[in-house]
Amino acid sequence: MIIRDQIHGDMEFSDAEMKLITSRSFERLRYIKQLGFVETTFPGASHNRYQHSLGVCQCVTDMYNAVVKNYPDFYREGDLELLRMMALVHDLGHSPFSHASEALSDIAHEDRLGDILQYEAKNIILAHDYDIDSWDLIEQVYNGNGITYLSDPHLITLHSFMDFFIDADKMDYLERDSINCGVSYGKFDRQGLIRNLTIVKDETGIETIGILSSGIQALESFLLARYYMFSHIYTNPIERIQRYLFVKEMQTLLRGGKYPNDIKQFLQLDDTKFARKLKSPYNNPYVCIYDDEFNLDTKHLIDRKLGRIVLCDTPMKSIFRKDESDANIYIVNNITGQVKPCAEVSPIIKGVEFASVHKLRYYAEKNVANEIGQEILKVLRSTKL
Amino acid sequence: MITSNDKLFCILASCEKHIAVNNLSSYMYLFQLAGYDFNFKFKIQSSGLRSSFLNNYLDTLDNEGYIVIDDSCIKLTKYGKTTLDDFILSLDELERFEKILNTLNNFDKDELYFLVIVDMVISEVRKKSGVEGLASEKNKITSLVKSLTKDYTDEDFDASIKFLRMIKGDI
Repeated sequence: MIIRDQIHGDMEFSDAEMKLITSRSFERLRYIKQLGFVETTFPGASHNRYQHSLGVCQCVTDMYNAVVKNYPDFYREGDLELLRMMALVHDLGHSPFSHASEALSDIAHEDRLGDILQYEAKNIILAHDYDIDSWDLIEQVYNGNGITYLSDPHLITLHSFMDFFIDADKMDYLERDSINCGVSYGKFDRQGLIRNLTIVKDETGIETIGILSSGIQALESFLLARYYMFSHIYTNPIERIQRYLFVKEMQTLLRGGKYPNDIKQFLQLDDTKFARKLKSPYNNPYVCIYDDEFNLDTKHLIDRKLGRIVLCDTPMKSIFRKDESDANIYIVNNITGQVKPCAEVSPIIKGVEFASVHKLRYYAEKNVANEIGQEILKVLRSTKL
Repeated sequence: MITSNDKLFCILASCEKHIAVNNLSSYMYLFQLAGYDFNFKFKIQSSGLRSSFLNNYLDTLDNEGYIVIDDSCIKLTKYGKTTLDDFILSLDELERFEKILNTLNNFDKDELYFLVIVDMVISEVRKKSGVEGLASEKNKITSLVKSLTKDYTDEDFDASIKFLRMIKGDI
């Protein structure tokens, strides 16, 4: 069956994939917004996890085909079917309102995946030669553990198509989110990046995803898009306070203040179950009175003087590598075949290699916001911070 | 839970004498085996052992001023050190913790990774074949460990088993 997508155009799905796509757990993703309360500030951002999951499936297909074209030895029968299934199921464990409600769950969405896959086992059809059920194989490769996964280094490399600095999930959400939010800085040269993907072997023979040197500008555009989207959309100050208010309100609506661990009960829940009951999205008493780059001394100072009457938020996200010991992206020179870390080839990447979005924000109730905002300024001036 | 906050205690104690970021995931994996309760999930990637739960928690600790990450090394701040000193443990538990920590401090990155892989492979085989199946699957276990680590030797494998048993309190 062919499904038309706003980003990828026509996307073709097999009968086996359609069985999963039309299952109840997958249909549920239609009713979970991709960006939670970002829609409050960017009304176009009402797209959902269903669209995204189909898009990731297309991205991972394009990625695998490009890798095999540039590095034919990597090809193995059945890889693509496995990757496509992983892409389709990867968000099935999301709670209502996506990441906005993470604090309401004792279990991370990735950890619910195993139970959901087992629950949907009859809808997961995958031909393979491994001695385990299809749902188990998908779970092991997606979660990066399990005996079958550890037994086959090729599966460890396949895992990185869904979890690496450049993976199918990130490629789809950056572009989809930026288009739906109506901002242009989340766009990057997706086709150029995918076309240049290849495989790099490290000194121990372990294979990882790398990039041909002709794709370096596309990689730069991808990392910059990630930086802009995190600094402007994913850590948006209005969304963050909505998230806080939402969690507080949801704690009163849910039994025990948390989403149920039981998978059948959990799968009954989506945004629509709560959207009409929630008051917090329309009743935000707070405004942001301080918004700057994170500084621990400033935080300590403001907390000490005004901590009881303000709300503090310190969103943080690494854009690429956390530090020198972190994994890396390697560039393969198109002509010489020489392999180098990407920051050695690109001054732009060198500049953002260890960059992170890290904010220090304070919120106060609207009726006292001016007064407290002035107090913060006084505190900062008195210490020359 | 052995302390009032196992997650915070194990990280702060591991960082007291500075620790390479790369090694911390192995430390935390092994402290979890020793019974400390943080429910971190770990995965093996092309680049080695990784836990997104641990990474997120490190960001929180950095944010709250307990640690600083400097040149791939995690160090305690003054606030982190005071917090660590305030933890209360029984003398027996403190001795056990220090014994494990001191041993871990003597291992390099590859040795720590070796320990983790040995445990991970054995746990997965046990999950599949049961405790009774472990002996008959020894060849499979060692060949898997060999394929996932560098410079495998049978002596290292046996020493790892002994150390893992000590950590788990079996000996």
